[in-house]
Amino acid sequence: MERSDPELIDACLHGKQAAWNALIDRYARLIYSVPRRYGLNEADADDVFQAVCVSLYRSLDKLKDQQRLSAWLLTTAHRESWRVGKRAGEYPELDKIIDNVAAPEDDQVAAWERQHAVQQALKQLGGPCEKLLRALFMDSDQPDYQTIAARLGMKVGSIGPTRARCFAKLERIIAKMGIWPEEVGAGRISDP
Amino acid sequence: MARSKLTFETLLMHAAGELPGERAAELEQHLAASPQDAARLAHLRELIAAMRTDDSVAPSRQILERAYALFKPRRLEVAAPWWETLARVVAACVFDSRLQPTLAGFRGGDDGFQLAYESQVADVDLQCEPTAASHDVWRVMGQITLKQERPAQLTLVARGEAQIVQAEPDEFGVFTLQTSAGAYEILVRVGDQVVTLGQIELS
Repeated sequence: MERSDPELIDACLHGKQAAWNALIDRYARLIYSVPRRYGLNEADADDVFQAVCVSLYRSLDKLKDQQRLSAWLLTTAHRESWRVGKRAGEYPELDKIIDNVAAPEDDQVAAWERQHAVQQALKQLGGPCEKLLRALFMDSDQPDYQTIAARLGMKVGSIGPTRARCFAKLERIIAKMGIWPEEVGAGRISDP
Repeated sequence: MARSKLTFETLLMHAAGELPGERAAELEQHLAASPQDAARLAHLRELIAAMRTDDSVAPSRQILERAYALFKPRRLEVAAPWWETLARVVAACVFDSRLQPTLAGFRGGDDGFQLAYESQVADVDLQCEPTAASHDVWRVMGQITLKQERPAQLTLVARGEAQIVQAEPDEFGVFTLQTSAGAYEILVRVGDQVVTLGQIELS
């Protein structure tokens, strides 16, 4: 069972390096993606990432009761992206991309949080299920069933049912994370 | 809709846009009468959309390692204070009002005293007086006169057993500091040198 954000933060505040590493691992992609989406190059995105991590480290005590860090991290990454981007002076479109320096749009935050939740759930899912779902829904090459079957050593005809089982597991993991409503109820479909 | 069993797999196919037109239409008819299944479909579509539009990027391993390292307790580096590291110049006390007859215009005697120091780097004049009758708090005023024109940071530190009191002279080298009664070593930093005036007793 994965530890919650408050549990990890508490462990960090008690000096546990492993908890800090786990916290970074949990949110690294979420943080790093913000400057990259805004068009910052790798070096500047690295700076943004480091700055956000420093800010997180310094704010641990303030954040220890925060149930979900994602919104705080997204806002911090958003502001740092603007700051680093303006300092670099290489992004003439930055003011158009970031029109509100204070915070990203709420619906954008929600979309990024959903992507983050799916990524975390896929990591927890692991194994052949993770590979299958990533191949079916996240591979930019959009491989067909035959390609996927060959890649994963499956029969083409088994992809559909396996996908359904894996997706149901993914739903249950996400429901436990508390991002999406649990009352949807994974696995139960009413008969027509 | 044909009374075939609606399975999760079918619903997932519909959420992914993979059901043929006629079957999709049949399913939509069913969903219109089943809010629970409709909500489930909406949820599946959200998940699929999140996956299909995922443009997130992970940082490199090197960047992650740097972030991990932020947490490591740093070796506390306490720099030695400047008065322990800079070259010292000892100033000679050339005048002590306590050893002189009371001067006109100066509150001498028991209330305060005046000192003058000379060195190769700077001359320092001090005037020390209590701020109240109890002699618990003292004011030290003075002026530093540099022997050479040189860019320097003048910092005066009165070091007592329990405290360190600093004062920054103004452009004319004039300074004032206030401290509690006690024994002090007066140090004047001039560039990379420390002029020490020796111990004085404020009591």
